[in-house]
Amino acid sequence: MGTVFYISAGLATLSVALAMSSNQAVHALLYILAALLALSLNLFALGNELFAVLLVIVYAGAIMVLFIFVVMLLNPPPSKVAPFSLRIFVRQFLGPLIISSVIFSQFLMVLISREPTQIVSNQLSSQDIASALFNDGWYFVEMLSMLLTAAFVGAFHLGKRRKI
Amino acid sequence: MIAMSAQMPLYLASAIFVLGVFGFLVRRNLIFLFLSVEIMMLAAGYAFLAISNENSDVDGQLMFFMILAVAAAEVCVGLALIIRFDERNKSLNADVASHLKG
Repeated sequence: MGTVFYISAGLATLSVALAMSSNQAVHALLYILAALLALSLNLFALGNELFAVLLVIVYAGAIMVLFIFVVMLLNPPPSKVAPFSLRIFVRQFLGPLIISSVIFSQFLMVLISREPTQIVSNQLSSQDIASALFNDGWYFVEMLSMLLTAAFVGAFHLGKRRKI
Repeated sequence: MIAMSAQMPLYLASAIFVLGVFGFLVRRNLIFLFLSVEIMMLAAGYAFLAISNENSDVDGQLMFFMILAVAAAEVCVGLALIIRFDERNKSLNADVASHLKG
């Protein structure tokens, strides 16, 4: 498990660096998705499996998808699509292919290896976190629910079509 | 392999944060600016988790929950604003909106 932490950490940094240096918005978003998956594996190797799952579901599954939808809305593809070129396809596909295959190989290694997680930094179980959220941190939950309601109303109002 | 110390996750968090800051300073497209802010918040949340693991304190993990929800709310409103900006200025360049009216 020790190597999984380092490999996923390196992958996350590489993915973010490639995202920041890409020309197109969709490429950057997909590189950030790969970085989120690598960070999720990293958190799992540290013992925070609840946040690994939450990162995939909330961050990668909701927030980044929202980004991708808005980018598709604002930058529509050109009406005349260029013919398929293998060279350009391979050049654009090689980076994400390498990153996702290494993430997948680490995932398989975690599944197949019989030894328990050797780097376990986290001593708290999900039950501790949930009981803290429910008992002491209930005001966090209430504040966040009000914040999310306000964000929902604000986004609804801002996104309404106006007749100008 | 370098021995795992308590500071390895903090190095990773700072590396990702620095990349986010660099991306924020260099880019002009609004979507990239917003994405860099999201990366910075992700790095901060990861740092909270790293420190909470080291001290076995549950407060850092609650903070990560808050950061996650605040990021979701902020993305919601921020992207709606970006859509309005694009409708009004026909461009996503941040340099376009550099003059105040009146």
